[in-house]
Amino acid sequence: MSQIESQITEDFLTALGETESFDEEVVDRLRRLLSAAGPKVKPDDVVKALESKPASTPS
Amino acid sequence: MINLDGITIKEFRGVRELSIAPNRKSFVVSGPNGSGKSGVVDAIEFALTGDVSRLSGKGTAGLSVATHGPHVTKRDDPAAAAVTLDIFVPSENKTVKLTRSVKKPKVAVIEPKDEKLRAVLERVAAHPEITLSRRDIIRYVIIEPTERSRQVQTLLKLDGIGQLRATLKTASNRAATAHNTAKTAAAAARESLKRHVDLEKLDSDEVLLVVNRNRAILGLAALSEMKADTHVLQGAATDATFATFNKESSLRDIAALTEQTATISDRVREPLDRVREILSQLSAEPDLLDRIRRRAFVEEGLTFVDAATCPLCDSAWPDIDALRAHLQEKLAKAAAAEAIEAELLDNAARIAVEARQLALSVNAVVPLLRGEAWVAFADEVSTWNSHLDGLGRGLDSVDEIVARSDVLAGDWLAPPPDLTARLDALAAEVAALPDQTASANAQTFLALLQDRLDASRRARRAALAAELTASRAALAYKTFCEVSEHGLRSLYDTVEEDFAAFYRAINSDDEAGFKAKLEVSDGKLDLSVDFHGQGMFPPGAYHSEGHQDGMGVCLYLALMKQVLGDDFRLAVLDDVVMSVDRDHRRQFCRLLKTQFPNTQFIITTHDLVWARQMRTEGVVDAKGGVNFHGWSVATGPVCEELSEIWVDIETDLAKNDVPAAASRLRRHMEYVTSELADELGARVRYKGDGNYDLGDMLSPVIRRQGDLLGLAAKAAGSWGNESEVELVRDLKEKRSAILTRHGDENWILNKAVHFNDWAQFSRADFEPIVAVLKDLLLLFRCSTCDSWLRVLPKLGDPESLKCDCGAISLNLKPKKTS
Repeated sequence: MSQIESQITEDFLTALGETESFDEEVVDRLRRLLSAAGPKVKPDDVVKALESKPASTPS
Repeated sequence: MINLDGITIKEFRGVRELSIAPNRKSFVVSGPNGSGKSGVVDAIEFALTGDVSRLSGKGTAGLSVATHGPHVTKRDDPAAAAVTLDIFVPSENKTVKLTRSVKKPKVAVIEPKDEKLRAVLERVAAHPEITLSRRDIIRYVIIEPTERSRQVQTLLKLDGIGQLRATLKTASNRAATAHNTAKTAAAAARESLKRHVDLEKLDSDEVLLVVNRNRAILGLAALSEMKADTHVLQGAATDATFATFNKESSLRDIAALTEQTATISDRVREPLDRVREILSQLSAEPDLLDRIRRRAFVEEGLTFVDAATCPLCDSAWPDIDALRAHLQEKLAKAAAAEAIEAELLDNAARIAVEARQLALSVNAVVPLLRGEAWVAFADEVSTWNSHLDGLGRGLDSVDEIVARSDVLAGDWLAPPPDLTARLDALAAEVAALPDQTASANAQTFLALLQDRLDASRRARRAALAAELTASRAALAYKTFCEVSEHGLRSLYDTVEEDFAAFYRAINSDDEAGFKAKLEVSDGKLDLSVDFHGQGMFPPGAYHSEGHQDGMGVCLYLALMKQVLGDDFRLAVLDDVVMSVDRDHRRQFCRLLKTQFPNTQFIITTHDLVWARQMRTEGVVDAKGGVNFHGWSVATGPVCEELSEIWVDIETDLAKNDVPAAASRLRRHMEYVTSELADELGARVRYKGDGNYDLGDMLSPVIRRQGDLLGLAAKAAGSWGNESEVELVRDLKEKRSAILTRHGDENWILNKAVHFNDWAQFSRADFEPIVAVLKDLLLLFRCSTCDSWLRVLPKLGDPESLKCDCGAISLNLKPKKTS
């Protein structure tokens, strides 16, 4: 990735981390994925990275 | 990133063998058109990237580095064609030698083998825009906005941003689809649960009442609340197995399936009609379907482009950019198809949801089809269930929908024959069963409730997880769009500001108020520029070609400043300001010097005036250049490089190759005397055919020099300038001594002897000629800056005789006497 792309990707991850929906673990998974595959990351891998382990059983 | 110390080119493009030494400083390669300057640019680009843009991209079909990289006489010997760069890497404070041969263009041999240095060179290789030709600068200025956006994004290495944005959008769509599927399953499971408890609304308190009523019948203690992990048979014997047939619940399941089957057609009418219309359109217009299919195919293919070979068909392309451009053009053409595709998928998804819900209802009834009488119907229902399940899961893509065209066009629901009647019969049979005992009823009710609670909980968990994933995916896409647009906007703001400032700097005389606007929208990059305060227009609207060239270079410099920042240490500019006039080029020199003091520019030009301007303005130093004054297939560029030409001639003579030495000397002398005739204002006899040879120019040039030194001596004396008197006297004495030797050899230089005859001479005859001409030329040249002396002004009475650096500056105007 170019410097500009890297900067935008980093800003993107930082912005996600500041939202309630994204905990640190998910952001880390996404960061690892993007740093390994870059822009050629597969959509299904992105979806997988965004999944959470099941939380408490709902009533 | 890097500076160039030296460039050695062997048998590459138009160059046979050439070494030049920029020594980490800016360097100018000058010479007329066809003298081989661009060969140097190609060589640098090849060494750094393994490619030559002149041999790739649009309009270069049939050309390749492998075939056309080597010198034309070495086209069958690619190993002979090689370029070596001596490179300085400032970040490591180290030098490295990089060699690349046409035989293995992708292999950069570096010495020393240092991983950090290799990493730097790999980064350089990813920036082919370090070399810029005039053809390239037009890409940024006179071009339509979509293509400009693509070119600029490629230059800025931003193509990955668009790619990642598309991937996040696809991910978001897929997560949304998965969420919808999970939601449908959860709703169906909840509906099944609600039906079982026979409540209008699934309220936990009301469910608790029902549960405790049945538990009481079984003698189980009442539960205090319904929690997420409550087991409704809690407290029953742990090894008990519970039957799950419950008469009342089963009757409700059958009734629900009957009702759903009867009403589903109304619910899907609208989406089904639209799907049928679109499928008819696709059937009537096979080209439309092809465009939709290709779009998805190409979109997928684009994500796999990582080399100049198409990932879809394995076709070889000249370069990766050309391949990407081709695929993106195909995508753009499929834009209309994209809208139809979206509508088809949306309506099909609505049908799929209904099919999945119906399949879940069927599932609840299947266990009731027990006994001989129901075997055949059970098989039919099972087949129908598979059909519904297939529809529910198999309408996600255009190809899947098209594959089910016949089904969707006809009896898409395809229920078993006499379904309603047979369900009625089933209901009657269940209703006719003896009522269960209160205890059995309570037990089966609770067991089935637990099953459905578990299924509903699982489905709800899955739906909540899918919802969270979908909302994250949507947020990720939205956030990326916002962050990237903000990043790009601020980047383009900076580029716009720098571009306008650079352009104003080189046009301060006539466009000091110049403004520019770069606007990004829908994948386009609009560039508008101010024209003398009359408004903002596209750059090609009113500005001259020269001004457009200036804009192109300024935009390039502004972009490079953004791309590389402090790492913008090298740029190779191939005749890029050829249309810019002399005064503006001077300003351009100052721009390079002031704004890019740490950047080494390798600049080619066919204009000797500009080459000289670059020296006088300090962009290049006195020795920072080479002038090509001729080219032939046999020799490649012939350099006017003082030391090199004489070394080459000596080398020829050492090999007893007088013809080669004579050819070199004659070309050099013809070039230099024509230059000197022009610079000194020598009076050469006019020839109508313009075909001047050495004999036409040498004597007038020598005579003119004598006249000028005479003027200088007279002027110095009239002003009482003793040091200049001394200097001129010294020059005249040297000249006299050389001309005496020249006279001794005059037989051989005499016009009567055709200079082609030199080739017939022996080495012993020729060596004195070489020596005297070498010394003779030194009289016309500054030993400090190596520039030729010239008279100023060029027209009118001569006022001074000077070199580029000012070390020699002789006044030619005597003091006026009253």
